[in-house]
Amino acid sequence: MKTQFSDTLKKLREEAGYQTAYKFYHGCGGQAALGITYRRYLLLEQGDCPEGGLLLKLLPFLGPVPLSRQSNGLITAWMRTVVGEETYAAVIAPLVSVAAGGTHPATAADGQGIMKQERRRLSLQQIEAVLADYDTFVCFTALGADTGVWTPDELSGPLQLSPACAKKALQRLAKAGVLAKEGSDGYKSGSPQWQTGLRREALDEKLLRKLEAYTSKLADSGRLRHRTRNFFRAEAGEAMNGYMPLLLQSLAMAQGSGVTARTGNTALFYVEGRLAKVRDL
Amino acid sequence: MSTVFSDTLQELRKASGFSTAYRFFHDNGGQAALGFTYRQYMLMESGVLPEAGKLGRLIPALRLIPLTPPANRLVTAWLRTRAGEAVYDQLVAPILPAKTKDAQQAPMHGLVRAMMRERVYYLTHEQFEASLADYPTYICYTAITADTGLWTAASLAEALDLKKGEVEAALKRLASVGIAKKVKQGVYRCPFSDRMIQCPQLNTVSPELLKKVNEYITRLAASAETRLREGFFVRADRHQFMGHFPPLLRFAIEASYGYTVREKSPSTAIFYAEGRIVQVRDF
Repeated sequence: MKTQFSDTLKKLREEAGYQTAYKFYHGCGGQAALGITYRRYLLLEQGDCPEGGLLLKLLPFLGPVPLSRQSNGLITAWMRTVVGEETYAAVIAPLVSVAAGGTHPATAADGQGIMKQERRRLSLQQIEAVLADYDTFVCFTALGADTGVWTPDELSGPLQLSPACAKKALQRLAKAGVLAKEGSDGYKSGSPQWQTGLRREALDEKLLRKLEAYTSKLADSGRLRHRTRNFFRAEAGEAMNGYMPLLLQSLAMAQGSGVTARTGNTALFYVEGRLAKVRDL
Repeated sequence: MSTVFSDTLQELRKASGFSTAYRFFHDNGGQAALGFTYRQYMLMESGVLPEAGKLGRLIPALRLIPLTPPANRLVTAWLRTRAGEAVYDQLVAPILPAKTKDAQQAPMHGLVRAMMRERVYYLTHEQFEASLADYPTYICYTAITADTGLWTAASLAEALDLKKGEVEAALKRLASVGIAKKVKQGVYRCPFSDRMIQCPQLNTVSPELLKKVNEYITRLAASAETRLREGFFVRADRHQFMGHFPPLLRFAIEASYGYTVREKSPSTAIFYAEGRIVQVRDF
């Protein structure tokens, strides 16, 4: 029997570019990534309601950013299914700050225009290949969303890697299907649409630690171009539910400047936002 | 005689919240920080074109980010005045890629900035230096400038987990430069904690102070509990990206000001927001 949840899940899966449940399940990395069998996933689309923990595993493959229309849609659909329409409308809806399937008020524009170009997400196995070592991570970060063909020699200069290391990394990425071989020594992105930002929620402890270490290493090897910092005193709820979406949305705007081909003026930038609680006061 | 440059300079000075030339000059640290006298600055606003090198001091003092449209406006105004209208239009303008229109700025951005402008308090160099006397003083400064309440050394020490003696010394120091005001014996409040406080431009302060402020902010931020860290790599055109994204990011961080509350409640806390852009590789 169809439910709010199963309908929404199916719709978001299709919107994310997976035509069939089968492609979605295996595209995410199957049981290793989602922790459920294909049969169990099918049941979800047919009306079975999952426990909350499974939402956390599904969301990274369905929505571009936390608090996006997609995540909000799936979460509200899940709550409606779990508690029933009537109870939801009477008790829960008034507490929820987003309309079902809508955006958080603070992210009304949602960066959707900018994020509209569809991004393909890596499967868990591909993520493992990308995070195999630092050099591979650097090559993927640069080439994932690039339209050119590169040999290890050509790539080693701009990325500051030795040709041998670049070659090894490119081979590894090609083997995982992230890059495609072109001619005898050239490589190009398997899809210039790769989502190069890996969503943390999809990763286990070990991969997460690697992602964080490699990201910091690459970011710290660059030149600081701009930094703004501010201490402010606020209600904890307001800071998290009011300010945080605004910060996230502003960060997402950087992706609107993304380009996929090299010119004499292009550079790889790292953009970061951080929000932290200093003291209760 | 006013020129395109002097008009633009005045307009940008007012737009960043300095109502008079005098305030602009002194709130930015005067001659020591800017490298020119007040009389020289008055002459710039009256139509005497400064040498180009001064632009490097004026742009940050006007709280503009280099290479952004408003900063480019000042630079092109200088060129236009220097070259003369006709030469500029025919020869200079066609070869300038600089974009000087705020076309990509959201209307909300302008509105919020205008709102903030009314509320800005520019910290003087003397006050800035006193706030950085030592780490406990910096923490006390951060706390009392965010709160409209009354504080004693004992109550502040307890709230901030500092020693009473340290806080006593810090409050006295802050009171000596007007950051704290003694209301009665042993009781202090900050007279401008309801405003948005802006530090002096960092390239106008001494290297020692710069080192200290970086150290203290980093230390305090490192002691904070991270609630969100979102970072990603993006490959973009350097000029286009650095011209447009930094103002947006700065705005996003400054917008935290809009969530400020001045009175303590059980759920209030001091938060730290940071945005940064690193150029990782030319690629």
